Amino acid sequence: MSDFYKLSGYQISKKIKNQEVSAEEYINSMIDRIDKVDTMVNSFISKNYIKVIEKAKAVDRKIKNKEKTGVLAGIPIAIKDNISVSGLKTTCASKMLSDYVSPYDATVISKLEDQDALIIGKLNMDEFGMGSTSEFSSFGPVRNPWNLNYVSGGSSGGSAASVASMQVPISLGSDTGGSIRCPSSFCSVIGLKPTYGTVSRSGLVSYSNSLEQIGPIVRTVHDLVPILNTICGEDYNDNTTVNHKLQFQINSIDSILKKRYKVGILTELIENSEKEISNIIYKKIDLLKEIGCTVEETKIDFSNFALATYYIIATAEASSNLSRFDNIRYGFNHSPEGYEWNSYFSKVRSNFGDEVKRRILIGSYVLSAGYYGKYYLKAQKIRSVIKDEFIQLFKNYDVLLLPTVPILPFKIGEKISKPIELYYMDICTILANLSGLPAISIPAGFNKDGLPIGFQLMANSFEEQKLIDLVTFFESIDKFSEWNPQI
Amino acid sequence: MSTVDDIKKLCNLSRLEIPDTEIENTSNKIKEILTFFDKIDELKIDDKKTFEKYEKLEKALDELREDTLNKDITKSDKKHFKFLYEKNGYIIGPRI
Repeated sequence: MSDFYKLSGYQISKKIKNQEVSAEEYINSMIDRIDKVDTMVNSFISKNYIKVIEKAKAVDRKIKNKEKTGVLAGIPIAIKDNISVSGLKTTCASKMLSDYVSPYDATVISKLEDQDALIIGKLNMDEFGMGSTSEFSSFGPVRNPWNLNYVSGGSSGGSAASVASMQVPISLGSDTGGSIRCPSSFCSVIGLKPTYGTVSRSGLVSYSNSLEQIGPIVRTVHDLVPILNTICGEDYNDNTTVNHKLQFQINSIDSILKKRYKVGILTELIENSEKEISNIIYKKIDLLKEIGCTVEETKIDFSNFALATYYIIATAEASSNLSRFDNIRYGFNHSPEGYEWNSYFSKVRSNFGDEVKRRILIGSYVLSAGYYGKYYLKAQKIRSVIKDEFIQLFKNYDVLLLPTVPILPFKIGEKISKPIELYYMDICTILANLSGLPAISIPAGFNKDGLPIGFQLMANSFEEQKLIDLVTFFESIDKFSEWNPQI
Repeated sequence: MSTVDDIKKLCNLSRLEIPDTEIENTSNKIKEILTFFDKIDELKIDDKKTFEKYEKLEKALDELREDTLNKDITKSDKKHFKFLYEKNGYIIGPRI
């Protein structure tokens, strides 16, 4: 079968378990697919072919011997290159970590392995997760599978582009200010940022600890549920994980329709988006009305201050987190012999890319004496106010609906030297990170030039099931899992 | 803030080296970003009201696990976990 790559993870896993196809045969076909397609997309940084073929053979042996297999048996999953996989490089797409090999698995990787998933490689991204286009990578930009001249979105651009271009059915990304949802919207796939504390961050290279979460990117809700159930849960190595017994499921359309969810529409954010985006979102809202959902317009009073608040907190945490990169424990070949301490660090740390340097400098500034109260402390207070606003909103609504990104994908290089314009791309996604709430980007359709458009749903803490229900509904109507780029 | 001298001072604080040819460009971009941050000055916050209803997601201190000593992976897995520069069993670093 030459078009295995079009199958979702759950479809192929079923075939492997039924012995209609072997895991080894399937993985070899996917390796061919990656070798053919990724020369165009540039989504992979490193590949794990030898180990993954061995693991596929082990899955086949288990099935043959009638041993129990995991829910992800035989499914290739690719991982953003800021998540540690033992024995593989974790570069964060930075020259600073070009030779760093992880000595241990992130908790999410151990959980995937326990379910017999195949970790097929590490994915391109904006350096240390700092960017919204995946152009700030020392391995070159990720290209959008729907139009190779356009950006894929970021920072998990490799994670979204690899799934959209059918190189893998499932990938993991990390989301600090929209880094899963933005590229998912630009590449027409589903991307979920879970509630803060749902998924362990142990083994994730920290950028902004209080904002970021690991989450899945998939083409269908049928792959979303098993991967989310696998990676969520309390972890001894991450004290911010919560002890909630979370188990998600795909409900029937009938039972979803009976729930008649109350949906709050963040109209101001929709109106401030490009016309083609707002038009398509209003069609989705009409659909919700047709099935009997209560739909009301609402707003976040402090959303005008959210973006500055987010960037103050994110850069402050980044300047602290990235101070660990001193080229003594992690780094590249540049001997410290003969250097004075400060001059050596300044020298080697100049290997950070421009955007990372900019964020470290800004972060150092907002934390420095005399400016801490003006910027950082005030930003933390505004964050509290925004969180409180969401708590109040979710007393009235089950979910909130808003755009994922207010603009359409654009050409590679078009905005790379305009940081503020790039920051404004995050205006709809950072709300979920500041408040710790779950949010999902769902494919909505395409503009007249065939560029993907997504929309976003947010729910209250630990209510990912409501998001899953609505994705299930929209997928049943739009069949977006069958929207595939010609690549 | 964000004159060329300010940026050089900030680079020193952040242990970053930026070539002289790029300082002015960096300075302009940082000035632009800080102007954008000044947006939050427009908001006056009543601290009491702000924190009254705030529910924290983080765990309380008494819910945290006890600290435990992990195995020393520098010794148990030298192949993957090593310092970049070592001599006679010592780590080489810059002069202090």
